[in-house]
Amino acid sequence: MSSLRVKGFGWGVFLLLLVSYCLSFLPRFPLQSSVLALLPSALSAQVPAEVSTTLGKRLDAQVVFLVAAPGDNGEAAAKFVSAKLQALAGVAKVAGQLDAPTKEAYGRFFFAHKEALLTPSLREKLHSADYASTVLSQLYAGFAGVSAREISADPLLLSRQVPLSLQQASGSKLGLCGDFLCAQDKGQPYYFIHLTLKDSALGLQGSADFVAAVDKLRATLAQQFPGATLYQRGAVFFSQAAAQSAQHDITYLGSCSLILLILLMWGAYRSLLPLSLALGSIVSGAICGLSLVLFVCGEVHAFTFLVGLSVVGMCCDYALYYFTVYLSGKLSAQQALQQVTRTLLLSCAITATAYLLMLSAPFPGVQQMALFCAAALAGACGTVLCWGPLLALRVRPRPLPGLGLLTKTLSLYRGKTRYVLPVSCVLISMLGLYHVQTDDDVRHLAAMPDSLLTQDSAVSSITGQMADQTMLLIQAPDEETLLQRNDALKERLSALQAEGTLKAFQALALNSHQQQQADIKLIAQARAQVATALAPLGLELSAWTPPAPLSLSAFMASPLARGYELALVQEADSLALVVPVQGITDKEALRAVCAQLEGVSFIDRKADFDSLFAHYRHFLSYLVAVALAVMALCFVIRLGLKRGLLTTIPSLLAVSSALGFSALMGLKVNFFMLLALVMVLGVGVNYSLFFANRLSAAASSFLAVSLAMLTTMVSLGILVLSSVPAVSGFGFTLAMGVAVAYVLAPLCATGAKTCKK
Amino acid sequence: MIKLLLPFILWLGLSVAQALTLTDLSARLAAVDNLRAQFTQERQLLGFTKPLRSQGQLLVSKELGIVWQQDSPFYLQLIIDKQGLRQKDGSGQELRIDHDANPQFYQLSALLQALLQGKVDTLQQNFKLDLKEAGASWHLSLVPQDGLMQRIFTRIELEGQQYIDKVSLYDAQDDVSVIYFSKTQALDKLSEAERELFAR
Repeated sequence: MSSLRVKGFGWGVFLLLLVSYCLSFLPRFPLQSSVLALLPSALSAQVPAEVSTTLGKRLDAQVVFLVAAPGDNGEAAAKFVSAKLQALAGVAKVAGQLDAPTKEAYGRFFFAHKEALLTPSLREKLHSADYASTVLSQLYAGFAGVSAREISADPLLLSRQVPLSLQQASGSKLGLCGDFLCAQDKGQPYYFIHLTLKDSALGLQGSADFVAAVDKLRATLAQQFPGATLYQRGAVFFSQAAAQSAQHDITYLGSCSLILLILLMWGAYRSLLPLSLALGSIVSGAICGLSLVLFVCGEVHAFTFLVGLSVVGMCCDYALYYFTVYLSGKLSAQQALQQVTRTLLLSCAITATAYLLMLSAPFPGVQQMALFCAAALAGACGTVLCWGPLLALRVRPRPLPGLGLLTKTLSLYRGKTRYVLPVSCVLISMLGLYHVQTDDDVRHLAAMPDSLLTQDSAVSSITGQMADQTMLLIQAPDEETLLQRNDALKERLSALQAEGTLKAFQALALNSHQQQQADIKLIAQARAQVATALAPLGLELSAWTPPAPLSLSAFMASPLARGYELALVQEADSLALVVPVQGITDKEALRAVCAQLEGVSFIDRKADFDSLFAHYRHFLSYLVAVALAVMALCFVIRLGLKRGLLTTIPSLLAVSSALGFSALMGLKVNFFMLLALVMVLGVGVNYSLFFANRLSAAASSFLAVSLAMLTTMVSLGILVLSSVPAVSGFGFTLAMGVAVAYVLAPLCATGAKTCKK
Repeated sequence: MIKLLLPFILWLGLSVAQALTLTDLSARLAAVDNLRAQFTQERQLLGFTKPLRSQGQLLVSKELGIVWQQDSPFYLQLIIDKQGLRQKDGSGQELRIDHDANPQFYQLSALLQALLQGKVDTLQQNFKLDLKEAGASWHLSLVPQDGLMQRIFTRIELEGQQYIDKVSLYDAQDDVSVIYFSKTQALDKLSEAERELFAR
C-alpha cells in the first residue's frame, strides 16, 4: 500500500514542479497567434532568413484605408479619420495628410533632381529625334498651361514627363486631391491613408485592440459623416479574424466537449471518481504537453491548443481502460493495475513514437503539436498508473452497463461474419482512394470573412495596388551595385510591361551614378534640339549646369523616399531592394529574366506556401506509411507474427478508410488531413492493444474501447463544427478513422469469453 | 404721381424684358447638341517675342466630347471624352491620360468640356460668373474660386453672340491664350467619320 502512496505522492510533486515551470513564464505568456509563425521562415532558397523575416514583419505592419464621403465632404472625412487613427495606441505612423510645407519640399527636391529619375521609356523618347515636337505640342496646347518661365527653366518638360512615366510603370492610380493622395472611382474621389503599426500591435492583444478601435472609428465616422465609406486593408485584420475564430472554437467547442465528456463518464460509471481520474489525466496531460513545448520552443502557438482538443479524447482512454477493467472484473485495484500496465505502457510508447516522428517536419506548428501530444499522452499514462489505484480504492465495484449487449456483439466477430466489416472497409478504401483529389491552395485552409475580402478587392481596384504576393528581390554588397542591378532590371521589366507579360511594377525610381551620368549627356543633347526648335519663337534658353549625382542615402533621406521606405532592406553587410510586380501573365518568362540578371530572385509568397504544403503533405504520407510499418513490427515482436499482423489491421484500415470516406464526401486531401491520419494511427493502436491484452476479458475491453471511442468522438466530432475549413476537414477525417478503428478493433480480441478471477 | 413714375416703370419693364440672364445664356448654348468650328489660337507667353499662333478645327459633341485638331504650324489632334484625353502628333505618337488614373486632370478636363459646351451651371460650381451685354453680344467673365483652378488661371473670359466666338484664358504665369472661333455650325447629328474619331 505504501508504495502506491509513494508513487502517487511522487507523481503529484512532479506535476506541481511542471506547473510552476509554466507559471514562471508569466507575466507575459509567450502565446503566438500570427498565422505566419506556423510556417517555415525561409521563403525561398536564395533569400536569407533575416531578409525574409524583416520583409514579412514590415508587410504585416502596413494598413491602408480609403475614405470617401458624399458631396464635398470627402476631404473632411479623411482628415477626421486621419486624426483619430493618429491617436490610437498601436499606431507608429500615419501618412495621410500632406501639408503645404511637405508638398513644397517634395516639389522643390523633385525639380532639383528630376534628371536622376529617368525611366527606360522616357529615355527612349529623349533618344528619338522628335522630342522637340513633343515639347512644342505642349507649348501650343492652351490648356496645358506651359508658361515661358517653365520652358526656360525646364525645356524638356521633365518635371511633367518624369512623374507621368513613373506612374505609367507603377500602375498606381493615386493622384493628389487637396492635401491627400486619392484615387477616382466612377467619379467619386477616395482619399488614401497609409498606416504603420508598432510591433506591440502585431501580438494577440495588440492587434485585437487595434481592430476593435478601427471598428469603433467606423461607427463614429458613420455618425459624423452619414453615407461615408471606409475601406480597410491589412494583414492585421486577417490574422485577427483567424485568431478570433480559433479562440471562439477553443472556448465554445472546448467547453461543449468537456461538458459532454463529463456527462458520458457519469452515465457509464455513476461515480465521480473515474471522472476525476479522467479529468486528472487530461489536466496532467495538458500540463506535461505545455511544459515540454515551452521548454523546447520557448513559446506556444494558439494552433497547438486547438489541436490539443483532439488529444483530450485520447488522454481519457487510459483512465477509461483502467477503470473498466477494475469495475467489470472482481479484481482488487492493484490486480487491475497489473493487468493493464503493460498494455498502457506499450500503447503510450508506440503512440508517442508515432508523434515524435513528426518532429522531422520543419513546420514549427507541427513540431509543437508533436511535442505537445507525445508529452500529453505520457502524462496521462503516468497519472493513471500512479493515481489510478489510489482512487480505485475508494470506489466500490458495481456492474457496468451494456456488458451483456457487448458480449453478444462480440459473437459477430467470430466465425464467418467477422469478414464483413474488414472487407467492406477495404472496398470503401479502394473506391475512395480511386477518387481522391488533393488541394494544397493555402487560401482554402481558412475561410476569411467576406467583409474583409470585399474591402480588400475594393482597395485593389480603386488604387491599382494589387495584393499579389509576387515580387523580385535584388541583393547587392553596396549602394552603386544595387542601383545598377536595379537599372538593368527596370529595362527588362519595362520591356516585359510593353509586351503585356506583366501589368505593373514598382521599382525604385533612382538610377545609379553610372546611369545618371549617361542620362545627363542625353539630356544635354535633347536640350540642344529643343533650343533649335524654340529659337524662331524668340525664346533664348539660359545656360544649364547639370545637377550633381544623387546618392541612395541622400534619396532615402529626402522627401522623395516617401513610398519607398518599405522597399529597402539594410542588413549588416548587404543591401536588398524589393520590387513588387503585379498582373503577371507568364511567370516562366519572368523567371527566365531573373535567371539572366545577377543578384535578382523571384519571390512568389503564395505559390511558395502552396508548394511547401504540398511537399509536406507528401512527406507526411510517407511518414504515415513508415509509422504503420514500425507499428506492425512492434506488434509482431510483442505478439508473434499472426497475432501481430492481425493487430495491425484495424489501424491500417482505419487510415485507408478515413481517406476513402473523406474523398467520397468530396473533401480534398490536404496537409491537415494527413495530420489527422497520424492521430488515427495512435487511436488505432490503443484500441487494438486493449483488445489484444490476454489478461482482461474481451467484453470489458470492448466496453472500455466503446467509451474511449465515444469520448474521442465527443472531442473530435466537435471539431467538425469548426468554422475553419482546415480544422473541420481534420476533424472529419479523424472521426471517420476512429469510427473504423473502433468497429474493427474487436477482431484482435484474445481475452476469455467470460471474466476471469 | 403715376404719370411721373410711368417712364420709370416702362424703363424697368424694358430692361427686365431684354436683359440676358445666365439661365437664358445657358439655355441658348445648351440647345446646341453638336458644333463644328474653325479656330485660331494665339498664345502670348511672357519672354517670347512673338505670339504662338496655331489654327485648326474644333468639333464639340455634348454626348461624346471634344476633338481639337490643330493643322498649323504642325499637326496635333487632341480628343477629350468621358474617360480621358488622347493626344496624337504628326509622328503618330500617342499620349493617353485617363481620368481614373489622374484625378487632378479630371477637374481640368471637366472644365474644358464645360467651357466649350457652354454648360453654365457646371461653371457656376467652381467660378464666380459675371455676365455683361454689349448690344447683341454677351461677355461672360469667370473668376476661379477653387484652389486647383486658382493655381492655373486668374481669369477666363467668354464672348459671343449666337455661339461662343472668343475664349480668353489668363493664366497664373501672366500668359494669355486667346482662341477665336469662326464658321461655327450647329449640327443635329455627327457624320460617321466624326463618330469614328471618338471610338477607342
